[in-house]
Amino acid sequence: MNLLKKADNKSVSRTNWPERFGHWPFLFVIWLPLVVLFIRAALGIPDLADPDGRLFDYGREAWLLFKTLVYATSVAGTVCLAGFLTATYVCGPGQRQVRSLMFLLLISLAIPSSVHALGWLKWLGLFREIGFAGIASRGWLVSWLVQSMALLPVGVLIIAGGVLIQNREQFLAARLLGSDTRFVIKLLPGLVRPQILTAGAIVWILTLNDYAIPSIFSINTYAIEIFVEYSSSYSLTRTVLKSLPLVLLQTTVLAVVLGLVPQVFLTGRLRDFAGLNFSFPRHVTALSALGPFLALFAVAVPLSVIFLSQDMWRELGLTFEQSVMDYLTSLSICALAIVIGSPLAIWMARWIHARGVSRRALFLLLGPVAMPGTLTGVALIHLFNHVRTNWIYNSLLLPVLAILGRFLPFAVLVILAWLKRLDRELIWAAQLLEPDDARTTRRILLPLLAPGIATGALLMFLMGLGELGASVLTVPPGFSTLTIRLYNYLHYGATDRVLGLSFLIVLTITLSLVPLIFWPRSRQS
Amino acid sequence: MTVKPSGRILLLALALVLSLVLVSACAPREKTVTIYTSVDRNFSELVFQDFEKKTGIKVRAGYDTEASKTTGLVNKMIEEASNPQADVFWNGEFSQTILLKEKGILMPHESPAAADIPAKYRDPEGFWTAFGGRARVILVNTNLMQPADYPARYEDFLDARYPADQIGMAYPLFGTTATHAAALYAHEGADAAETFFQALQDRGIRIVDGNGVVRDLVVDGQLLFGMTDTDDALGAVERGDPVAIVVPDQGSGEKGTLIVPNSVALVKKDRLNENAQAFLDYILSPETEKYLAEIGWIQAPVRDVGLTAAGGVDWNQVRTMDVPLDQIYQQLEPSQTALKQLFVR
Repeated sequence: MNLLKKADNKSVSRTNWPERFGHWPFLFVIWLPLVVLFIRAALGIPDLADPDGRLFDYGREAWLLFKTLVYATSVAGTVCLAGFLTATYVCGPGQRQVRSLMFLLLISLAIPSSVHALGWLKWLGLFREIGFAGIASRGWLVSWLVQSMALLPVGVLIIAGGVLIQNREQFLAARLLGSDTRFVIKLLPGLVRPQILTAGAIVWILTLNDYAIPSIFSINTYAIEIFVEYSSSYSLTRTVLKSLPLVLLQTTVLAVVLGLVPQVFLTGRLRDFAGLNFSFPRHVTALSALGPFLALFAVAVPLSVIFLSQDMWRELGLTFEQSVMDYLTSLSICALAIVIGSPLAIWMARWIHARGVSRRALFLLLGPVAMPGTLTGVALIHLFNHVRTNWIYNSLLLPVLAILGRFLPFAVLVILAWLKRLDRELIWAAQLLEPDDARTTRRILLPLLAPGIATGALLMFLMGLGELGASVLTVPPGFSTLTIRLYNYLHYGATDRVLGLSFLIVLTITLSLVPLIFWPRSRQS
Repeated sequence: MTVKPSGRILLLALALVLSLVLVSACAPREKTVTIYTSVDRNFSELVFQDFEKKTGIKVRAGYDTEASKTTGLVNKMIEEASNPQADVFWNGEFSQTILLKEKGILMPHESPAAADIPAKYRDPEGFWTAFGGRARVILVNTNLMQPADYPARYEDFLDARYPADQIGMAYPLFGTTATHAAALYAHEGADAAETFFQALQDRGIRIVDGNGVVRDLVVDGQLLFGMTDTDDALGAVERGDPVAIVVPDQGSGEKGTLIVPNSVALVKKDRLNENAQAFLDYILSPETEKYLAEIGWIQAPVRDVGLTAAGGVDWNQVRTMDVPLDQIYQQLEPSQTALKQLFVR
């Protein structure tokens, strides 16, 4: 025990600079704009004109916030339940099926929520035509269904990842003591609790900040209250004040929930958990099959709308021709975000890893995620719109910083997970043999972390490609992104063009996933 | 000196970052004008291309999206006030341009091309000029309704003949629907307008995310009819969707429909960009107003440009709501504050 402690102390004394100062670049790039924003907003409080006392309508707003919380919690709960069922089901068939499902889910992640809504509107209309006239076209129930389906891929991917890293021996031991059903119902939820909570928290936050799907189905949420304030008062202070309850709630819940489970992110090694053939009674098999059925539906609805549209195929050439510059701009922004963001993510992950995952670290890491995209964009405008920083303000660096501000924390989480899976002794041994820290990092640590870095980069790419709220404010004049164009087409009602651009996004993601699919095989060989 | 593979990747990455930043940031040497526009990109792009062809001046455009309710750019311009980036603001409506004037973000400029535009469409101090209007119309699904049953006025949204869940409009808190609400506040008085909107809310008519969504739901047959803008409605008509346009409140003694004109203004800067003046002269010319009508962005020009009927409507015969633009603007914030209490709960 003492020897282990000594080894730990030695390792701390030998820490290189990312483990001591790796959080500073993250704080500078991600937190500085937000701090400046909040200072500016606070300075504006004395000037707040509220002669009618109508700035806050506490009763109505509290009720709206409560309804929004119930809505987001129900969506998060549904996604977690369906994600868990899917994860347990896909463990049976084996790796190939798991990969196919994951691949489809990853693709559907980047499809804009409006296309999900469009798909569901068409499918629900179809159901009504064939006799299910009672299916509502608006209201809480249908909005909950569509929102859950749109976010299901997030939940399934995280929870299935949690199941796949479980120790095969745990299951085999449990099988000796009881039935597979008992293991899946009693033990597995506890084993994948970190991933279930993570999925729930992320889906909860995404739902809280989305008003596109709820408003299509005539549901008011607190996000629309913030947007009304933003678009009617033109006041930064008022908008920040309105956002504050939601931001604080999200940050608190993230810090508390994720702090409860410090072993939250894929802390185990990848075991061969897939390929186990669970032996369930029929009714349990049917129940667990509900998950993948829903997951496939969640993927099939938007993809069917895209691929079955004849107009989309007819107009695809023209759509591409008109969007090619926006497409290249989007790719450049995402590529730059990966190039700049990956080192920042590695440094921040190493800093957190060196200290252990604490609530304070999680707050620092995930606080910016709770900010609405619009405020992230406004924060960057405040920080960089000065004569001396015009070279940043008028370049693609600004939207890159916006993408980093919104999605870099997710890349850090992934790299942190891979760091936790590394054998610490291996790194210490390398440090003993090689006194140059930079060399150890380059030759030992980075190759071992490479899959995690690649996954984090892919996540930033996927999310960055669909980002709108901050991009629309930060893209310099003369440039535009694919998503900005897509939303313009959406307003114009050019569904064929919207679907054409969605197809382009799906194609890009598919092509970007190919190296990741073949990479493990080449490493094995 | 040999460079290791990891070093090469690093060098390549750095080169990519530098080149992209330099390419995007380097100051353009050609004649350029930076224009922020809230006009739908499908239309504004055509206009910019036409301007570039005619003048040789390159347009660096900043676009808004419907998702940010066309207020994204205005908020951006307010944030940029200390170091403005745009030379010109071309707005698809007028109230936010008046707001920018009040915030001290615009500068006066009177274009000779606007000489024949009626005075009511020009700011007395020359900060902005309005031109080419869109109208508020009711879009009807022709598969679901017979012409005899079409609604004829906005008040028909309260008629019990039409099921509430098959009637739609956008949130009266954003964009032209908010402007329409403010116009009703100015025309009818705050109490009457609020009573009308309260009745709409009590009926439970469908309130959706934007005028484009209203159009899509009518086209899809999920709504019998809905209130939207002419540019949205005409798009559906021209695509051959089963819809018809009804211009509301056209009967004798009725108030007429609201026309929402475009507006354009110069952004206040230390040094005036001459190319910005060239754009103002271009966009305010009768030829461009006619061009805007031909491509479908506007339907109600503010002067005679020889416009023919569009979407089955003779726009020269349309009765319009007579409310001064600045009065509508004055009602915008009070109406939004009141309607938020009604519609966001």
